[in-house]
Amino acid sequence: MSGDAKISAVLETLLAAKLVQQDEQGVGYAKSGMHHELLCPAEAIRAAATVYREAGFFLEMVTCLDLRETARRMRLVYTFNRLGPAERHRLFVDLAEVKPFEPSPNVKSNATPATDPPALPQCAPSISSVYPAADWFEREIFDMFGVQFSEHPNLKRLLLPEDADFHALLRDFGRVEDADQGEGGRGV
Amino acid sequence: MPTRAKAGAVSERQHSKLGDAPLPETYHLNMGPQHPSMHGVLRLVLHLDGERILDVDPVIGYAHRAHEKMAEHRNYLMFLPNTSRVDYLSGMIYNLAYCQAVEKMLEIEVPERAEYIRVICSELNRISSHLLWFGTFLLDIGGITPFLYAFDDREQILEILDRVTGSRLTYCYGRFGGLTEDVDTTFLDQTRAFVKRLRERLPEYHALVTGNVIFRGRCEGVGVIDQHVALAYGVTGPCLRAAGIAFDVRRAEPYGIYDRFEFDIPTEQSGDALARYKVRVAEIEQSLRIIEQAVAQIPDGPIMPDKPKKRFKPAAGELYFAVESARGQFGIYIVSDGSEIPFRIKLRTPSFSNLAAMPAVLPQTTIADTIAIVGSIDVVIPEIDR
Repeated sequence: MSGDAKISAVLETLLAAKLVQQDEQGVGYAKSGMHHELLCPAEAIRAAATVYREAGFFLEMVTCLDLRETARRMRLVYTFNRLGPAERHRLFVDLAEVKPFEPSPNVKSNATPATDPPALPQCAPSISSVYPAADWFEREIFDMFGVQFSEHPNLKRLLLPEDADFHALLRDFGRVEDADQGEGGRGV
Repeated sequence: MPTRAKAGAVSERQHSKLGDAPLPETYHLNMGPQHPSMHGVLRLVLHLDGERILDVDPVIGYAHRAHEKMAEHRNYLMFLPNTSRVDYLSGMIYNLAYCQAVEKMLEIEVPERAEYIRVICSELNRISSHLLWFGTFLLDIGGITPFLYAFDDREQILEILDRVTGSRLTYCYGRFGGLTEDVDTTFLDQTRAFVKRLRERLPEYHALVTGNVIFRGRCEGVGVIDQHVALAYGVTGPCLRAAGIAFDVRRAEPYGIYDRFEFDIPTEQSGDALARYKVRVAEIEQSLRIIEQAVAQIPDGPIMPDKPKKRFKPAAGELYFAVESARGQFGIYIVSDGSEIPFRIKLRTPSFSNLAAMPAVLPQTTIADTIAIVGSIDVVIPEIDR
């Protein structure tokens, strides 16, 4: 439960339509900065975004967590907020289960990145038709994590070079410092 | 130079709407990445029909330095110097925002005096950022003199902050729990003198620029970001307030001690480049008000907790912390896995979302307007690319 957060009308709509559910692991606003901590299945994210859009929320952030090592999943994180007194809704969208990767990211010596990360690409529905703001956020996630977004109008790399063959924020990518150290490095 | 297949065909032809197949006479033009008014390394791929823009595709990433990746390979303290390099024009605000986010994770109490100094420095930094924008924006659209005025005043701020922090731009002044150095009475005197000085200068700014007929001609009704576009793209900061929405994180989700100060949130209704100009200039005055109150109320006392934390392992979990930077809502999303090293730090930067709205704003304007529009939204490219 989201601590002492007051019941919000948009949340009632979302819960009634069974688009989201409360995140039992939530710790409340004082600790997480999130007024409402929710879970959403990937197939419901576009419908949930539509409810937020109609309620006058803006899309504050979309990002991705590479949890393959611990939870065998990639997780998308969406936050919606009001352009007024803050009411931040955080949605976790867990993608399909994948094989965990082998090398530990914080061990310097075996930071050799897998050339073909297991079980990528992952896919989620794009919400850019609901929130144009999601266009760039989703492109960045595709760029950095290799997650595909279905029905995205223009899913191409955003920050890394167009011809890059890697996704730099994956945990098994290795260290940045390794990037330009010759063979095995991922320098561009 | 691009060439046209049929010169002079523009006036005779019905203009095609966006999304139609390109006419044989249209062409693409790369504006940037090395263009004097593209603020660093922004590249706009303009699809043009003569002088008129049909479509635009902003290309970013030229200043990508992998700050988020670096965060995953160093401990919390080691990431501190990265923060002010994300947006080097309001680095103080970013640096302190990161400190405040970590303080919230670890439940560290910040001494009162440090809170006041943080407010003074943040607002000075906001003014210096707005002054730099003022100067370069007018330079972009052809006015050289205002640039000299603005940089003269901005230099005062840089000297005040340089004296206490040791840096002119990329400040690393914050520490978890407080600040590196205390300020002295000279700092407070200099700050008071600066507030007085800038108050006297602002009427000159207005006389020089605000009523200028050429300036108004370049800005009035140009590049309108209305409330609908702002909401759809998550536009924040002065660009949003110029569209009539009084959203400011300092008021909507107060952090630090901002709830103690009286200040207004300037808004305009028209959402054009002129409105964004007016909002920023009005914000300078409000920042001066905040500084004046903070300088008057600042208490004596320590600037760091008794036992500062240097090495620590935050409990596993997540945190979103937002502040109002000079360009809009800057959010830090930190995920901890319980180790000394952040599992993930996502930086939600305001210019990223503000620039993303350009494909909704630029079409049907002209190349000359592009300069005024991109200038007026005040993008810092390294902050977008991170």
